[in-house]
This record gives sequence, C-alpha cells and structure tokens, in this order.
Amino acid sequence: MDPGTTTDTEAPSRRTLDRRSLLVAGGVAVVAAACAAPSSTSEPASPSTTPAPGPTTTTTRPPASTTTTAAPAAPTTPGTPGTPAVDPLADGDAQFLHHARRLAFSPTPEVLVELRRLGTTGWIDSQLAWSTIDDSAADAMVAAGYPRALWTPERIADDVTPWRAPFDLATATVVRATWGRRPLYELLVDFWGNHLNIDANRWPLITHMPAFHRDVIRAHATGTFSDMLVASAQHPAMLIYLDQASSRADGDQPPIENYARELLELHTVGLGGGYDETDVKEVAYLLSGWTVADARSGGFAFRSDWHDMGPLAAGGDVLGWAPGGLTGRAAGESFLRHLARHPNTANRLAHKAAVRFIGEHVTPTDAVVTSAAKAYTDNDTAIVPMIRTLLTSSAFRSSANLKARRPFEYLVACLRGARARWEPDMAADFLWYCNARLDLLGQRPHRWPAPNGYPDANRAWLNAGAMVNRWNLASEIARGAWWGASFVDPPGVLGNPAPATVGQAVDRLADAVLGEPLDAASRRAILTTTGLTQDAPWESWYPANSLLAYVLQSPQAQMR
Amino acid sequence: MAPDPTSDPVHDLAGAASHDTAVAVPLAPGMGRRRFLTVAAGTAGAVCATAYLRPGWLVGTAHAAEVAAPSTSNVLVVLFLRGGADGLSLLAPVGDPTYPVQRPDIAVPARAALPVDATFGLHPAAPNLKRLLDDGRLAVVPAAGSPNPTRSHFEAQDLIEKGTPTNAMTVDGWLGRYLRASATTPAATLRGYSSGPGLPASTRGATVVASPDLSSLRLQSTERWASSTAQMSTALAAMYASGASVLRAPAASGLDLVTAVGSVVDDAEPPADWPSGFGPALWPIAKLVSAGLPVEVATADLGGWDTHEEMGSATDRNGRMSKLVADLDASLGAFFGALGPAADRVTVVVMSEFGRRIAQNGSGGLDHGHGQVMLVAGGGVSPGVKGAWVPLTDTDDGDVRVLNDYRLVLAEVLARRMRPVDMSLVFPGFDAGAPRWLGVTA
Repeated sequence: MDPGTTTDTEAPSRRTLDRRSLLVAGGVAVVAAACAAPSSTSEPASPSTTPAPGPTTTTTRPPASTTTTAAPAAPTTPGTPGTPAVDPLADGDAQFLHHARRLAFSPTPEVLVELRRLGTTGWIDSQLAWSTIDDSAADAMVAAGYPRALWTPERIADDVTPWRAPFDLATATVVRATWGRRPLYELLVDFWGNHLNIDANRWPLITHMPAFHRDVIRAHATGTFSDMLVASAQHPAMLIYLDQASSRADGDQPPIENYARELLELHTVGLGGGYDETDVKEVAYLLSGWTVADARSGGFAFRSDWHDMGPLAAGGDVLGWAPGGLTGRAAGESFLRHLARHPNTANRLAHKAAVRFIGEHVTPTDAVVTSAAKAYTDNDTAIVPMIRTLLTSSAFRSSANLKARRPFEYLVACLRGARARWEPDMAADFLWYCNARLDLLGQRPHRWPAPNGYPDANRAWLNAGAMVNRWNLASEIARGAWWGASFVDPPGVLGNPAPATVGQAVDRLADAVLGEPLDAASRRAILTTTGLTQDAPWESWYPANSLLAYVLQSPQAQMR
Repeated sequence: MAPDPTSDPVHDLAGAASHDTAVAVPLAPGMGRRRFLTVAAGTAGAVCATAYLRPGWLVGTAHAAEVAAPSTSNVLVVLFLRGGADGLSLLAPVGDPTYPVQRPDIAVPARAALPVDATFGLHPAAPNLKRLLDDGRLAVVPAAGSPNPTRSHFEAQDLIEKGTPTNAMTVDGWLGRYLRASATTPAATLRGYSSGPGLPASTRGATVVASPDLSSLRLQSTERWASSTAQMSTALAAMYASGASVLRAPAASGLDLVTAVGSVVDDAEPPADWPSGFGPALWPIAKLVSAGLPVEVATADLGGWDTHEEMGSATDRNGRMSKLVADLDASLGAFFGALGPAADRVTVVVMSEFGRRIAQNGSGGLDHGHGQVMLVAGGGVSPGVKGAWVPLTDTDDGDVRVLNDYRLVLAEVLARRMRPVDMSLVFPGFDAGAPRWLGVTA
C-alpha cells in the first residue's frame, strides 16, 4: 500500500502511453470529451517546478506567510520519469499519485499528466486558482441534467417537482467531482459545506439549499472565512435550519438559542473555545431579529421590532467582543467577524482542515496546524493561504494512504476508475442511482442530519456493513448496471490493443483504476478467481467486468 | 476502535449463496440485458453461459450450509432519540401545577394524558406505550440523565454514549465495553448490530455491524456468468488479509456477516402496514432477532427531536411533537408485534442526550434542557414510574434536575438481563451497584 514500495514493474512513460490510447478509444460522448482535455496539449511527462502558467488572476491575495512556516514544502526536485525518486517527499510518481488520490478524488491519467507538467506545488496553485480552469463541460452537464441545482428558491417553489431540488443538487455534486476539472475546489466546497452543514430535509429549506450552496459555500470556499460566515448567518437556509428565522426577543420569553449555540460551538471557536452558557444566551439576544425577508424568494431581513440587545446592552463581553456603541444588525455583523478572526477559530479551522486533508493523527498543536492558522490570521481569515500551507507541508507529503475514502469519494473514484460516461438522455436515472447508493452508504450530499457535518474519521466509515455496501457498489458499477452512466467499458479500460495475457489484463485494470500496481495478495486473489495462470492468453470474451469489480473492491481502492 | 484482531482471516463460507441465487440490485426492466449485450458485443454472440463453466470463473467453493441453532440469548435494544427529546411531553407531569403554567401552548392537558400515576401521564399520541404499561412491560424514569451539565447536543451525546459523562477522553463506548467484557467464543459477528449507515459512539471498541437496511447485508456477485458470491468472498478474504490495517478487521467482519445472515435477508421488506417514520430503523432488528440470529445488542437512532419551535398542541394530532411521539409509539408497537415469541427476550431502552427546558420559548418551542425521560420496555421489566422526582419548582437553572443517573438504568438492565460482566469495566469510576438501582427490572 505504500506507494514507495510499488516501484515500477512498468515504466511510467509506457503507462502514460497506455492511458493516452485509452482516452482516444474512449472519448465519445460530447460532455465527456472535456474531462480528457489538457494532457494532449502539453509535454507529457516532464515534472516542473515552475508555477502554473497564468493562474494568477482572480483569486484572493497572495499566500504570503506560507513560505515562512514551520512546515516548509518539501524540495520540489523533479523526479525523472522511470527512475525511482530518492526522496519520497520530493516530486515524483509517488507524490503525484498521493496528490491525485488525496486532492483530485482519484489518479486519472489526465490528473497525473497535469501533476507531472506543473509539479505538485504548481498543480495545487493552479487548482486553487480554480476560476481560471475551464469547467464548462461539467457546467453543461449540470445545466442539462440537474438544473434545479442552479435555480432560485422561488423557481424551485413554483416547480411542479420542487422535491427534486435536493436530488439535483446532490447529483450535481457527483457530476462536478467525477467529470469536472477543479477537483481541489470541489473538495474545498465539500469541506466548507460540511463545516456549515445544513440538512436540507424539509420545506422550505429544500428550496433555499441550492442557493445556499452556490452563494455561501461555492462563492466563498476560497475567499475569506469572515465573509463566508456572515453570508451563512444571513442566508435563509441557515436562518431556517437553525431556527434563527423565528427567534424573537420582543415577548416575555427569551429568543431561541439554537443558532447562537452552533455558531460558537460548530462554526467558529468550538467547544471549550472560551464561552459559557451565559454567552450563548447573550448571543441569542444579540442576533434576535435576524430573519428571512421572504420565505419564498429569500433574502435577509433585520427586524428591529423583534430585536433586543439583551444583557450585552448593559455591559460585558462575549469572547472579547463588546458592542462598543454598535447596535442592531451592525452589532451582529461585527460580532460575527470578530468570531471569524478569533485565534480559537483560526486554530480550530486549521486543525479541522488538517484532519480532512492530512490525517487524523494531526493534533491542534502540531506545527503544520499552527502555521496554517497563522496564515489564516495574517491574511485576515483568507482560506487559500491556510489551505496552501497545509497542502505544501511535509506533513501532507508524508501522509499518503492514511485516509479511507468516504463513501462519496469512493463512489466518485469508482466512476472515474471505470471511465464512466454520463448520458444526457438518462440524467434522471443517474440521479436515482447516485442518491440511492449514497443514501445506502450513508453520505448523500447535504443530508447529514446534524449541523456538525459528516464525520471525518476512518472508523466512522469502516465497519462490516459498510464494507459489504462498498463491495456491492463496486460490482454494480463494474457490471455497468447504472442507467445514465453507460460508461463502464472494460474493453476500453483494458486498453487497445487488447492485453495479451490474463495477468496483463489485471495489471491494465489496476493501472487504470489505481494508478499503480495491485499489491501482490490482491493480484494473486484476483488471478485465482479466473482459474487461469497469469500467462494464459487473454480472450476477448472473458468477463473483464468481473476483474474490474475486484480491482474496484480492492483494499487499495478504499484509501486515498 | 479496536475490532477483534483475533478473528480468523479464513472465512467459513457456509451459507454463502451460490452463484445461481445471487440477486442483483433491482434494475429497471431491460437494463441488465442491455448491459449484457454491450459487454458481450464483439465476442462470439452465441457464447452461452455454459461456455464460462471453467473452474474458477464460476464455480465457488461453498461448503455445505451449517445451520446454527437459533439464538436464545436476551437482547438489549438501545433507541437514541437524537436532538434532545422533550421528556415532559413524553411523560407529562400533569399533576404538577407548574407544568401548564410554564407551557401555556404546548403542555399535555391533564384530561388528555394517558394515566400513569398521580403525577404523570403519557402523551395522548402514545397508546402503544400505554398498552405496554398496562401489560406490565414498560418502566418510565423521569428526571433521568447525565451529571454533566452540558447543553450541547454533540458533547452531551458523546459523553452519554461513552458512558463516562465526566471524562471526555474515553475512547470507547459503554456498549462497546460491554460487548468486549462479555465476549463469547467463538465471536459472533452479529452480536452487535446497529440499524443505520454508521455506528453510534456507544458501540465504539467492539466489532459491531451497521446497515441501513436488510438487503444491504447481502453480497452481490458481478453477474451470474462472471463470478459467484462464494468466489467473491474467497477473493475478498485473500485481498483483505493484507492491505491497509484500518480495513482488515471491518472487511473480515463484513465477510463473516454475509455468511451469518445467509438467507434471512431474502425476505427483506417489512409488511405493507409497517410504520414509516422510525419504523424502517426498527425493522431490521425485529427481523434479525425474530429469525434467531445471534444479535444481543442492537442500536438505532431516531432523529428530529430538536424542537426549538412550533411544537404544537399536544391534543392536535398534526402538531409537531404529537407526530414525533406517535411515530415513536407506533414504531415500538409494530416492533414488539413483529418479534412474536422472541419479544420476551428483548428489552428496549429509549434515551436521549438531554431533555428540554421546562418553560417554552417565544416561538412555541423548547430550548435545550437537562433532565430527560428514559423508557425501558419489553422483557423482564418492572412496570411503572421509577426513580426520584421533585416538583418543577425545584429546577436546575430552569431545567428538569437530573436525579436518576442514566447509568443506573443501563447497568441494571445489563446486570439483570444480559451476560454477566464486571460493571466497573462498562461504567468505569461509577458505582452502578445493585443497591443504587432504580428497579426498572422485575
């Protein structure tokens, strides 16, 4: 499982060639063409330390602090293709594979080519500058197949099937991850979407969820956390989900504490972050009157007639913030931005992102976390410097294979590994399969039933039932049983010309799915099922689907 | 978590379905055929299934099915009401004059409550609980809960499920420790079962199976002409004998599970009149237990209890709280009905992370409180109201006081109904001895 031990039975250049030919053989459907794009235009296999050409335009501020951190990026000496890298943390096949698995859902040939072309740091920077990457193919798929993911709340409410909105949104998430060209951005969207989780399970939440996802999460995923937090606090979906929309302090009963509590406990400083029950009550007063302008069309409204500053008006502070003359909406916004900038928030977000992108072994006091928190703070809550610090650290580079794929990532990796092609005329079928299977596996996007987001610990996702579900998903995809993803084309994945031997067929499938050879035990186990030797001639009618299923089921395919 | 590392990597395939009986997921008509054709195209179109009958491609190594004797063990089912269920609605202190005053819009009216004793009545939407009570099969514990004062859902759930409410550093859960302390030989894969996609924190530390439904406990082969279920089990066992260590134990348990469950999952759908809401979470437990599979501890999560607003009148059937209670009540009624003769083996504990505040808020709801209500239902129960209670004028910062430590209820049920264990291993640092029990068991 350690990529360092998988050194090559087959030269990388040869592999690249195989993949290229696969792409040529496979690129049929219009929408699928774009995901196979960039490799053909650049020199294939020369790693480079030069930054990504171009992508300096739209994204935020320069990641100022990252070069001075305690967790410096590993040297980016180019590894020569075909020669095992001496330093496992230096750029080379092992690191390209690790980056592709961890930051791009799976090592497709296209991703590996880009990584080789740009080098790991260049690739990360190009991905963080996601708006410069053309993703029109995935956009077109979403618009054609899952338009409710793009609609306004009002349009969804007026639709004859408004209940389809959360299904469209979940499927759009699968589509962007599987066929989009901005995988790291999609992973950040996933991270922040879980951080500010909303379970879109009821009316009218379902009508507001696509807008929340777009205007709060996607819009700010590489912006500043301060802006994201304020946007979330003023979005109808969050206001409705955590009952803030109906919290009023104008009667003889106190305002609802729900949002105030989760704001402190989950969204910002965290449990033990320096507040107590009295603070929760005070924040509930501070934010009373924050509500929805119109339950149908959305919008934020501050109702001064529902508002009462409560105990804070008489003095005192919460986490070092006092009104200082501010009142009403301005006071609430000032408090939110104070929370976003609070050191406990910085450390908590940096640690949470480190656990997500590096591993569960990282502790809040690790140097990589404090460096990332510093980058966040030094750049006034900007997300990119924090994430870049984490992803270019030696802690990240030495964390290969530590994380199990969560079900969503596993599903996406299976579809990518099988070279799935999305069929526009069967978009609804694909939607059904995605949602039903992610439900079964326990990770339908935007449906975690609590505001703390899907768990990010291996043990939460690995148990007997979960393993059986994963194996079944792999079988189902490998045998092409999903309507709307007619893809799965084992002869295509096998390569052209056809493999000469059964052993070569297994190796080709492993390379296509895993980007590396199978471990010896898995390879032997798969060969055993055939009842043939590895040197037996490959016959075109042999059930390649079955072999593909085993590769997708293998231990290696579970890790990222 | 530390799933049993000693489990045998070589799996007995007894009971695994042969390739002929492996059933694919339901597909829209025509789909399977179309894929068949796509994949087969270009090969000799006339190749029939028998052409694949070479050793290995098809023929598994299924052993003769070994029929285990049906389990006769007692079963503990823990239903966790996620979100902080309002105990004063489930078991309403209608005899307390403070109660209707603090809850002008949402109190259960005394005239509507289903009588329990002079102080308490059950919510009118709970006729099945009332029937269990009258049959001598329901104990209720008001003012129950954890000594930890947290009002955070996540912290409260975590600490309660760890079983060490004053020690957040505990890594395993109380059910996990119970299962370990009472481990049987050979280990039965299904001793612990969680109905749902993931494992609750209470089960950490033991090998527990989680599944959101019954049919997902079945291993599907790729196609009948490709690979049998038994063959796939063999291959998976070999693949996962090495590989990442975090995968090894779950994979081994998964393969054990497929074998153990066998044909029980073939009849996987609940009856047509099975309750919808919480019912689906209870169905797999009812089915596995009534089929005699060796389940001894089962859990399910029932969500939706975080009622900050608009709880509605207790006498309005369509009120938010009424619907939640009716859902719980109907699901429990159906559950005990489906168990049949096995019902006497099964004891259900219903609990939450905390109760809710005594007084309603400005939105007709209740914010997070402290003391909750626990229910103990089924086999071996001593019926009625158990534990201490004080009037609602005596509060914990406006919340119901916790007078009855939840661990006393759990320890008593474990000690009286389940396998003998050293209770100090299950609830370390806590005196859960018999003299302190509340008398929820007969």
